[in-house]
Amino acid sequence: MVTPDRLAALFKVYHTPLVRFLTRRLGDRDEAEEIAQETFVRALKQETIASERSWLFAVASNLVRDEARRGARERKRHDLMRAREEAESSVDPEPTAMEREEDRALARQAIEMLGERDREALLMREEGLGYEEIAEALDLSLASVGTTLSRARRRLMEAYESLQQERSAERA
Amino acid sequence: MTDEPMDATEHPDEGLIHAWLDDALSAADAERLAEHVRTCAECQARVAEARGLIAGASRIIAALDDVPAGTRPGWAQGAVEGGLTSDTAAGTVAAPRASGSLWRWLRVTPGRAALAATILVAVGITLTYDRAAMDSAPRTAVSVLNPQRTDVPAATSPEGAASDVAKPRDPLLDSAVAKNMMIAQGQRTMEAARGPAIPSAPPPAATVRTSTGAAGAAVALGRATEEARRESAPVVTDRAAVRSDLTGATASVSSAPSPSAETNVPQAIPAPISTAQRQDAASGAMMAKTSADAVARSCLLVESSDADARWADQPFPLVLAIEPGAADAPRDAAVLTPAGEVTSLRAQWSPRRGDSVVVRLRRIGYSGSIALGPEVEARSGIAISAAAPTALEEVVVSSAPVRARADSRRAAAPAAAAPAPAAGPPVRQLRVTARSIGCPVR
Repeated sequence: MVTPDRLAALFKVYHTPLVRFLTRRLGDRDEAEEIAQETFVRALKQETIASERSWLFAVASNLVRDEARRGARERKRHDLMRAREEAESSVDPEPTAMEREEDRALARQAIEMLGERDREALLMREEGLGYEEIAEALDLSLASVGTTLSRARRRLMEAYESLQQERSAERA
Repeated sequence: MTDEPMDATEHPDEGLIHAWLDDALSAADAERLAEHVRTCAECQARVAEARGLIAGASRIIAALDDVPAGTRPGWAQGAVEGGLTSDTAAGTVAAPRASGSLWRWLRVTPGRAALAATILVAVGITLTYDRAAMDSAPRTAVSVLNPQRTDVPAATSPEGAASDVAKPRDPLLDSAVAKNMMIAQGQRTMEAARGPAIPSAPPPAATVRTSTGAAGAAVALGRATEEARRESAPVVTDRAAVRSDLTGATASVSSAPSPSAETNVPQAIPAPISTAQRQDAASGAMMAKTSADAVARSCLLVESSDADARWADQPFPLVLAIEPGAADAPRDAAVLTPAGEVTSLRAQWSPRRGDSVVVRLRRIGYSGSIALGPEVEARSGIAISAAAPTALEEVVVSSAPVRARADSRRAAAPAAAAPAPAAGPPVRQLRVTARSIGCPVR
């Protein structure tokens, strides 16, 4: 059983990267914090946790996936519409702020276009998880992590560039 | 990372290159891959491309960090809060359901709650302040500008009152102007009731310093003295609330005027006027003086022929340094020594009809005034002052008989003569002269 003291230590070390990971994954900080909280609640009920970081990220990913299954299509449609509306209806007159908002919207759309496993592996890697931890969290073989990451990165870049071209074409 | 050792002669796949760049290969595999890349131009290009992909992906993902909260759709919120019970996570633990707390449903965090409380308090204070201002402003405006007021003496009404009433007014602005003028010109808590009219004196044919033959100057001086007498009255009444027969100069103010007194007064004393009403009338009069011509700072040297003459506790000669202001409005004056040293006295310079002037002493513990006649080469006048404790000792509580005696004395005394106290401790009436001088450098 994970003791409260141990849980507090886990929270101190992993809460921030976990929330950031979930925020990047979900696009909503509040939701990310709630799922992170739920993740730590589950950790409290675990008898033992061998690899703490990979376990936490795996549980968080599963919670996100479970939530996503419930309304993946609606959510994706909503996010796409919201991102497009935010990009198009931005009233911020400052170019830098507008550009930043557009980048965020495009990034959100691009990350949503990835496969789920690719997306999670990439986000975990960006949070500093090692290949072994990613493999453990996503139940992958160690050898496939590099392939998964390389595919995720390439597709992310391709999706992002494609969206940028669409945006440029719309403006033109 | 790989199960089998890497062959240095084979081109590594993209995943292996990413693993190498992510520092996820074993030392041996990393060395072999590095050796291959050094000799393979194609793989060098692939490595460069992989570096670009890693950097580009990191940049895109970093752009996701600027995410506002509360953007989750309602269905998603409900799904998460009610749906974090999946057994898919880690596959081992049944997750507890999300709390059904109202605070959680409202998404109220401690920070948000503190911010909301702060905003609420600020809004409450603002509304309360505005409400108080709106509640007080109309009352002030009505009391100052109410055209229905008929109990205010006509003499205190501004000349332009009729036109002012006809104009649409801003009550807040008017009350603010009146208040500022009251402060600037010295607020009176009480004014003496109006006494008999004193005829304006013609200019004296000769200097009044000799006071030997110029009847006109004597009349003017008497009128100024009467003015001074009435001006000095509030000083005592403000402290004692009743009149004293000390100087014989206070009989025109009484808390209960008797009928006999009124018969002796050509202009009947109007019905008791409250302090607030007098302030209102004074405010209106002061507002009507805004167009008066302004004069610069001026100084008068006030001298007395008596060797030990004093005004309050300061020996003559004294210099009145009159502050700039409207020529026909009261102005504050500093009392200086001829050398320009500031004394503890202050005064108020109040012009009167016929170019006479009343200078009212402002000093805690003393009351007094200087009445000055019209200026020819100099002004001639009378100065009086008394220490407050002495005056308080002589206060007569029952005012009606005293008032009758005082009024009878005043009626019997010629206008040109300064009233002399019939009894009580000596309050010296000092003959003084005042002439304009250049203001000493302070």
